[in-house]
Amino acid sequence: MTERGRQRVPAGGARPVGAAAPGRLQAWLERQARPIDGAGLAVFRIAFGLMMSAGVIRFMANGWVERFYGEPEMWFRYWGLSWLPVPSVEWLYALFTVLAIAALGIAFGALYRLSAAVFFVGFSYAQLLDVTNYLNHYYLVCLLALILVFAPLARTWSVDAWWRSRTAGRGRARGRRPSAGDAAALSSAADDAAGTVPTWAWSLLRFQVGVVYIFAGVAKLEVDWLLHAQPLNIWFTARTELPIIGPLLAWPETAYVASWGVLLFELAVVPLLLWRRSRPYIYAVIIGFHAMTHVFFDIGMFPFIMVVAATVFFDPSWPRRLPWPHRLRAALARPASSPRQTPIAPPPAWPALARGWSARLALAAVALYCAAQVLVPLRHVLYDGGVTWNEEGMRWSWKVMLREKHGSVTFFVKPSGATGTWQVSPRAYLDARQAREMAGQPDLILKLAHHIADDFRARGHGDVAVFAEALVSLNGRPAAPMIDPSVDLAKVRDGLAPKPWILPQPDHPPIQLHARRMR
Amino acid sequence: MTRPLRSFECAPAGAVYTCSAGPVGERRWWRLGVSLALAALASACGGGDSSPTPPTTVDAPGDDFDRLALLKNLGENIVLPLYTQFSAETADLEAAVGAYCEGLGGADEDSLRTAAQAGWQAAMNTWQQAEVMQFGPVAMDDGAPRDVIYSWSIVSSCAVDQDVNLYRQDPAAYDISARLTNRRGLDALEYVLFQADLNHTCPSQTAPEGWDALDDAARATARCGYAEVAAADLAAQAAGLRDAWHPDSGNYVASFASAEGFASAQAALNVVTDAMFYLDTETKDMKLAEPAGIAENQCSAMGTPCEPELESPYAERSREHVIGNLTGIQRIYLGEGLDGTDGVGFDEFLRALGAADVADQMTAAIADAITAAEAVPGTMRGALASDYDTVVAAHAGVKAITDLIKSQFLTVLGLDLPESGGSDND
Repeated sequence: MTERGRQRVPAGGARPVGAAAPGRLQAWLERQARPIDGAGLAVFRIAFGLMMSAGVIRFMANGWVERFYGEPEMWFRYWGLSWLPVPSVEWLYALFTVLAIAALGIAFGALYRLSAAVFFVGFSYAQLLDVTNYLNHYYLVCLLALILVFAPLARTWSVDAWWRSRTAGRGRARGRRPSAGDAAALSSAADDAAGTVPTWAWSLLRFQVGVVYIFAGVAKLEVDWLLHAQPLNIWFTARTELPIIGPLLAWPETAYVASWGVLLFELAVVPLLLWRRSRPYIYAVIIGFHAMTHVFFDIGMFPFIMVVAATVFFDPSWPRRLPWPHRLRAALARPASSPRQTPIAPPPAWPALARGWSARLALAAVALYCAAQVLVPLRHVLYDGGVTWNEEGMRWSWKVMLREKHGSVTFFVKPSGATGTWQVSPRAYLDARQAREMAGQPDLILKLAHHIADDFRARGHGDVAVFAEALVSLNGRPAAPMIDPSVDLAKVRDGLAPKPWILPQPDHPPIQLHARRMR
Repeated sequence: MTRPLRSFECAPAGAVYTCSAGPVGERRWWRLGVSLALAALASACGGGDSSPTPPTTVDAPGDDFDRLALLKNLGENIVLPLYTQFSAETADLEAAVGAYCEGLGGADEDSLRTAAQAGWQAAMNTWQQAEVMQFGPVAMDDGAPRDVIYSWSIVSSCAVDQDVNLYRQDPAAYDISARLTNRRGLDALEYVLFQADLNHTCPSQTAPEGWDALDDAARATARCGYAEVAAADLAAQAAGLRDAWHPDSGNYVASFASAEGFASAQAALNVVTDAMFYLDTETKDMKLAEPAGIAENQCSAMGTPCEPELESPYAERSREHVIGNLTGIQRIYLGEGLDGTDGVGFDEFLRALGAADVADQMTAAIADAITAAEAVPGTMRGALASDYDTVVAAHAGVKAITDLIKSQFLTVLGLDLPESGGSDND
């Protein structure tokens, strides 16, 4: 431990985890342990929980449980996760009901950690059952829920906080004195009473939301988006009927303006949210931007999630500063022991966090998580070719709204010893939604090829070879073969290695549509 | 298949489906504000034509194009005339079947039967064009009105045998409107008009009671009586469908032309292209690939014919049905009316977007597929036996169209695949 570091040991007497680390890192870690007002994150928690509950109920009400989980005869399992058990639709309804309740638990801060854990595990499980269900915003929901499991966001405006304050009051009334073993509980109780959360929870949520915006912007630094305004040009020309705005969308120039505007927005939004002066203005732009994405595209809850998520960049006490009516303002005021009114030193959460291997493990896990969030979206650089074509590195990478891809896939099955082949339509195994997703994603084509081979073998056709003819149009280009039709996909193993059986993206530029005279 | 028709309701009324227009679909006017904001933003930013590389198509935008004009042409000049023609033909068929039954056992029996068969062929030719236009009233209730008219591929000659016998046992009590769809419609009529063998086709467990004891005359009379009922039912269904579209009754043609009940004209067009996928799943796969052994079939025969998979085994019209489907697609695509006029079609839509080469490819692919189907000599059964390659070529021709529809055609038009739009994206 350095001398400087020793001087910074909190009065609580604990050895900080960054003892051997440089002072700057230790100082940063200590800052992350400091309590801040939990009001802002409480609003985030409430809004997130309510949105998730509404989203899950909407999912059930739209009949998507049957559609996504009941209708498919075949499931595209994630690589390495084929062991996940597939429940019946009835069980899935039960699961989604539990998820809706757990989301309400998050919102109200009732059995908060349990609720967050149940929601994270259940929601992630439902998403991991079939690759064709993957959506970027479902992934974001999983990540935010994971953070919520560990971030103590229920110390303000929650049932748990109310209950703890009530039971603590009873304890005091009975004159019970806490034992030494109650130290951690006492620390937590102090934070509860103060309605604070540790800074790291705030930072981690900011980091996560920032990653989404930044990588969404970075992903748009590509030729189709910047030089051809695709796929916005295609999407805008399909929406020229909109009142007032319609004729404007018919201009190719509009797609260019929007493409560059979205790029600049996504790259600049995080710094502008971090800068206090620009924050209100950029938040207004965020609301406008996501409102437009909601109008133009079927992206479900995503715009709402992002509008709520961006509030984590606000000052921690922002809800208390709103112009509430007088009575409500009093109710929303910070407790007397709030850090703004009564500075707390040393930070109560940090000594407990800093001790022992469990603390080091926790810090390592957070560091690993953050590293993964940065590196995973960049993994496509390890593969040759455009990611929107070969899809290697497409998922978990915030490459949102980047491609309009349609394809026609036909499989050719050749039993051993046969001279000819059978043509197999994907629709023989997939529902329409799965077939659409599969047609543009080589790894899903491979999975279906394996499934077809297994099916034919099981029906007594012996060892079969499976070939695929996949004609794919990316951003309006003429359809081109995406899979090498001479490769027996039944013999290709799935994995993370580059896939040489994916043919190169055609050199042809994307289409450029003109709809000036379109109504 | 669930169709996004929101304000047009069809319901069974007795034996016939009746349809009526409901209130206008909710318009999302609240979006106007957001649109205005974007308009202001885009106007302020300006912008110029900055495409640095040649686009796929460099055609200048075509004439003014209105999606509603396309819908109007489809409804007024193609679908409604088709249903009107079909209704007239089914009425003729009803009369021809009546004449045939009246002349049963007489000197003109054969010619009357041939006339009834010709009536069936004429109606079926028209219906096969309409098969690729399953949107609007015919597609309501998961396509129940369509199934009543033609339930293929859920067909059963045994089921028809049982209903013939049921009719024979008590004609007055027999109510065809209460029967399953595979005991009604064009497919049932095909069996009773074209199947010369008067034995039933049921296994012993479900054999029609007393049928085996009947002589041929009684059997022919029973079949004919049933045929009259089925033909009358078919004519009523056809008239109901025509009326649903007709301006003087249901007037769905007006609703369709104004995209009433749809979120937008674009959404209405998506329903049309959804219907075009009949060409993929039914025409390409079921009518050609399976009988030809190109795809797996109930015979488990690869590269060799599988006759049980033929669509029209009694009338031997499978080839004509494929041509009918392709003709229907061509009408929709080119906007070609029944009177031969070239109206607004998807080809104009593509050209207006500047995608003339896609339009040309589609035009050529459809024409080539029709040529290939017409090149199949004689009947499909006969061609499979002696000119197999012509059937394979017809299949390839249809596949060329569906490949194009599923890839660039839908992309360029900003349309989606059937049943894949009802969820969130990205």
